[in-house]
Amino acid sequence: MAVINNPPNYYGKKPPFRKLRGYAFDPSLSLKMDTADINDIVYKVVWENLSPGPVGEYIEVVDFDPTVGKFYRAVNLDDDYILAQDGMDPSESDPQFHQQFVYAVAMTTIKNFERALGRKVLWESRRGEGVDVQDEYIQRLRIYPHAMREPNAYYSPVKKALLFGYFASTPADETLHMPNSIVFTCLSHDIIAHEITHAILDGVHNYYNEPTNPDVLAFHEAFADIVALFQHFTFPEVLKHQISKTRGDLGAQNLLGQLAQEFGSAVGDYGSLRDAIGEIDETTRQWKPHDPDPEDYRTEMEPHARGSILVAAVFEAFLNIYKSRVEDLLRIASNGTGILNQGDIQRDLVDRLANEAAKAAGHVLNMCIRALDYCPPIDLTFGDYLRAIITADADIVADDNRDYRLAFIDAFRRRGIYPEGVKTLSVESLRFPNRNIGYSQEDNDTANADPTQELLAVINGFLRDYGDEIKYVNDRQKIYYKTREYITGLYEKGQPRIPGLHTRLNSRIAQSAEFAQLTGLAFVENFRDLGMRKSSRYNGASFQILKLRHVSRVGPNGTQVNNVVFSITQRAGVVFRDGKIVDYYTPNKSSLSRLTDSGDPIPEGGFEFRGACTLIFDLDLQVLKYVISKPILDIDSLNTGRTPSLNLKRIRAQYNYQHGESECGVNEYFQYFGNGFHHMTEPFAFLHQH
Amino acid sequence: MSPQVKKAPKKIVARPINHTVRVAGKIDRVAIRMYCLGTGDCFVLKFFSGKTRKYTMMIDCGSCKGGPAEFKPFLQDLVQYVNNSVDLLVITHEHNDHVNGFAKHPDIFRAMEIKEAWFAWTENPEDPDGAAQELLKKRSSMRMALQNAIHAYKKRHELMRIDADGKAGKTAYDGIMLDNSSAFINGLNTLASINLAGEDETEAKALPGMRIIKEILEQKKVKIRYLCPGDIVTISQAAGIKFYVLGPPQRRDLMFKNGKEGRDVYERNIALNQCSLAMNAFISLKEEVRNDVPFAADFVVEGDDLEAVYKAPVNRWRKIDDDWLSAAGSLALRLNSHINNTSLALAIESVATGNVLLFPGDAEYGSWESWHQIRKWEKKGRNGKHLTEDLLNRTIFYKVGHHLSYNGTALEKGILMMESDDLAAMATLDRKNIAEKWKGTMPNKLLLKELIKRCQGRVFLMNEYQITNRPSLQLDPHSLGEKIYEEGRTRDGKTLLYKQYVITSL
Repeated sequence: MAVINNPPNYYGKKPPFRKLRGYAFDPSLSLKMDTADINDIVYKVVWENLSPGPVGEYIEVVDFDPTVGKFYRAVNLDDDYILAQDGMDPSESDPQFHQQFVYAVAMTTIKNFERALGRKVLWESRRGEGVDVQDEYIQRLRIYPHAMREPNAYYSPVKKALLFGYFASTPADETLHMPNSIVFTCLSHDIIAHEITHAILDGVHNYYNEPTNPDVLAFHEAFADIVALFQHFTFPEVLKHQISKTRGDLGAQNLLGQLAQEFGSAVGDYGSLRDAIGEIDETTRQWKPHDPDPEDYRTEMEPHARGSILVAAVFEAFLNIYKSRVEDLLRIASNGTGILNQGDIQRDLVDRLANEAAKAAGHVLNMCIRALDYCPPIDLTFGDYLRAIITADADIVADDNRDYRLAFIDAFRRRGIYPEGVKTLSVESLRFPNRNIGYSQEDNDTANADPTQELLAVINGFLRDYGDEIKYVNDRQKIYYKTREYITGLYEKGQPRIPGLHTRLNSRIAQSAEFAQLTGLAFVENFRDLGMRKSSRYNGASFQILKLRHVSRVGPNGTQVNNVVFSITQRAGVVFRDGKIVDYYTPNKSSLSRLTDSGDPIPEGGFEFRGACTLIFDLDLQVLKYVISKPILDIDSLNTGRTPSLNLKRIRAQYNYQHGESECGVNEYFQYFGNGFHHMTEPFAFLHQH
Repeated sequence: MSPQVKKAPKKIVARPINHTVRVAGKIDRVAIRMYCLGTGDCFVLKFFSGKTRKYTMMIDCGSCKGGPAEFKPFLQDLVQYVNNSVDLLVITHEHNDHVNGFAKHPDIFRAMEIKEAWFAWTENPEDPDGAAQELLKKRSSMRMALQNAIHAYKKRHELMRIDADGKAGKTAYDGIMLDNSSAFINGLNTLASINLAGEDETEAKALPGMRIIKEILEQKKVKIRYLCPGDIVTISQAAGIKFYVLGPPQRRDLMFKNGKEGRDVYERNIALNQCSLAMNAFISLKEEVRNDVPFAADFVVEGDDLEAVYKAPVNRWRKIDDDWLSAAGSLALRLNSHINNTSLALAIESVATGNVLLFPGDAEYGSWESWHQIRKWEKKGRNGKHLTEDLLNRTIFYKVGHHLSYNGTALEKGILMMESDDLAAMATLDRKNIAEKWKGTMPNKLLLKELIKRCQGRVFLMNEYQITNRPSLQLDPHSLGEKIYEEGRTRDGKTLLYKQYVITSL
């Protein structure tokens, strides 16, 4: 057959999307009459060049099954036949479809995230000794769709990989699920979205793997659930179907608020694995809504269950926002009564309600994701997160005419989640205090400027350069290395040295007592007595700069946010016994070491205690806007001019949580096979044991 | 008629306070002796009528720790105490901490007169339904899989160690990886020490203690009974008491069931799923070709580009060759729970007073729940209650299940039903002699607290070492008087042999 060449004036235009078929939820819903139609959807994934795997810019799917020691043939999504029919047919028995599906869901989640965050997703860099600087940058997250034979799937921070398992089902009721059939966790939209969110979150806040209080791991779980849940609202057909089914009442039982239906029934639950608004009563088999109980937040310590409290709070905020957005529509559709007639609701009303639900869901998810930039880099609590949500939102939406922020505060309050150190529960008091410390051109009397202002002036100028430069960089690798360069400085042979952020802070930080007060960090003279290392570069306590990033966002009314954010952490070696600090030791250069700096073993009761803060600079106003701190020092000791001491309250809380006896609340698997809370190499492998 | 009116008169009839109405020759007193061998069960119950010993019963013989020498003084005392003869030997379930004593000193048991022995129906090699055989077969393949997996895991650990040592300098990171791996192996070892015959066994044998006692019983032609839930046994020699068989359950799903936290058990157990796929893979670990692929053979490929990427030395740190072996963990837990749930659970009732002694073995939630579902006991208790609930209501002695762990005692369907003011409990927990990783789960603080409250301090732990909430602080057991509470020591006084609690008005 003759080859028909393209006409010479034809230029192939790169398509915006690659269409890939898949499940909206998981294979089980394709087997049910009422959901089969909506479950098969087409994912529109931003077009990128792929090689078989698929391997793209962000992820590489490697289908090696170690349980049989075999590789499964990698799918080539550029194959003509596959391209021509919007990807492979959904199929449980074809591993190539599995590869396509994990790719489609992972990329969809990544792109949704980038949209909300306003910058590229970067994976957490590879750390550890013996890792070259060049090897630190991780371009692609690896995905193993068939990595084990367990009802488990997890993100491995060590391998920068997602591992999905498969297992034989054991349903509680044989009518719910076929017993002994194989269930693949890599075929559940919710599980994939959940796991990839763990990886994304790790790239934003790498210390959230370290359980220093019961909320930290719970937050990881909750956040991953929130992202997976709200992604349901981006599937129009699913949304309309569920709106129609619930007659617009999304607080009733519906698929949108549920996670992992197949997994749940396959491991012996009566419904989905998790449900943000209700549960199936095991005796009556009827669905019933949850009643928020503030007792749960006090007593529930298992990370998933505790995380569910946060998920429920966020979902309730969403429901109330949605309700207020559709009140008028319901009145219009019901002759002003607001009470709909019995029977199905009109098609047009369904469309309008779905529209509002999608909008509200998008807004809520955006609020949740944006708040990440306003969180402390370590030791997060749900209360801190509420404050971050409120502050982030207030920054970008000056006029909260739909009371979004109140909806959040209300939902958190109903679950007894209160931030610490806040005197009243109002938007104003929850918002982090606006510091607005800067160095304006008017008072350029340098002789009288106090060291802190001087310090901040230097940093502000430097960060502005960073913001200007990074704004136009699109290549993820370049972003990574450019940012690194700004932190550590540039030392090229034959070129003049350009000091980085670290050095610039060093040069002035020691003199700034105010900076120590502001951040709660130990930029104080007696740091050695407090078990802290001396910096190798200057005469003060060592510190680490984390996650320098440029945050540029535009609000609905044109409000612009143009910030640079970074975090500083410090660590101290503390020996804690019987509720008291009995001694200090200088921690090893490597935080992974089991030895102290002097090479002795860490004494009994000794542990590393961290303090940190997130600093948010406004580039337009040239001010330090927010300081979100987990103080390593006792702030009182600073304010009252006593000898600075460590923050005993935080030390005690962390110690009690990590060393409380048997009731540490993870699970039996962790108690048998874990190694305590220190240096967990695979925290999520343990958490996700079902 | 209102329920209150109905309840009141019955209660008075049911619990006579005046003991003089007893018929002579009937059992009215019991001495319960717990041998303090280390975490593990070994009990002797002597039933008396007046001053005459009527019936001697022994339940289990095992401990987490100790060799023949450590066991010897305890067993010698036991032999002497029972005068080398027991009327009944009960073996609750096949865990080393309940049966390994038989293997440490088979001679002692060969020489002992054993008149009758009881096992759970799950041990019956000739179970008419074939259910027991199926379970035994399953147990044996789980053991096989677990053994293989442990081998593979240890091999991996060894390779990691050699690899780390071989480097120019072992890094802190290597150290952590090894630490975590060791912790995992510790967990496996703990469960293996309870569940497996021996580490280096190439085939999955029954535990030596179980094997040996069964051989001895066979040689001696001892009468053996395999009991099913719902069975009620009376024995002519032991007039005045009745044995109610509560578990193990006969429904397969309950055998594997876990409770919900807060309502069913104090802490949630992980849901233990069928790990049949992982099991298959473990069993075939030692074979050259592993063929249990979940897809059609066409999909398997060799030598494509991604294989090269996966195997490239620079990507070594991302390999997942052995990560899946951690499924051995859930397999071990599952096997452990499953065997716990095969425990022969007995309630011993005094016919005259209605008082009950509860010996559940190590039954976990699935078993506890099943007791309440025994068909023929529906509405057979007082006030139309299920008989199981009624028996729990009348329990005055509870042998705490599974060494005070969170999953050995049901909550709503267990401890919260034990309402008697006379309740006392014994728990076979000794944190000095315990499998390493049990320390994390035993005791469950909430359960211990509840027990102390319900028993008004009459909770006798094998050893209070490392227990913060010591029951003896609430009530010094010696203050009960020698007739009620007694401790026995070796002649040199150094070793505590047993703790004994006497119920004077059974």
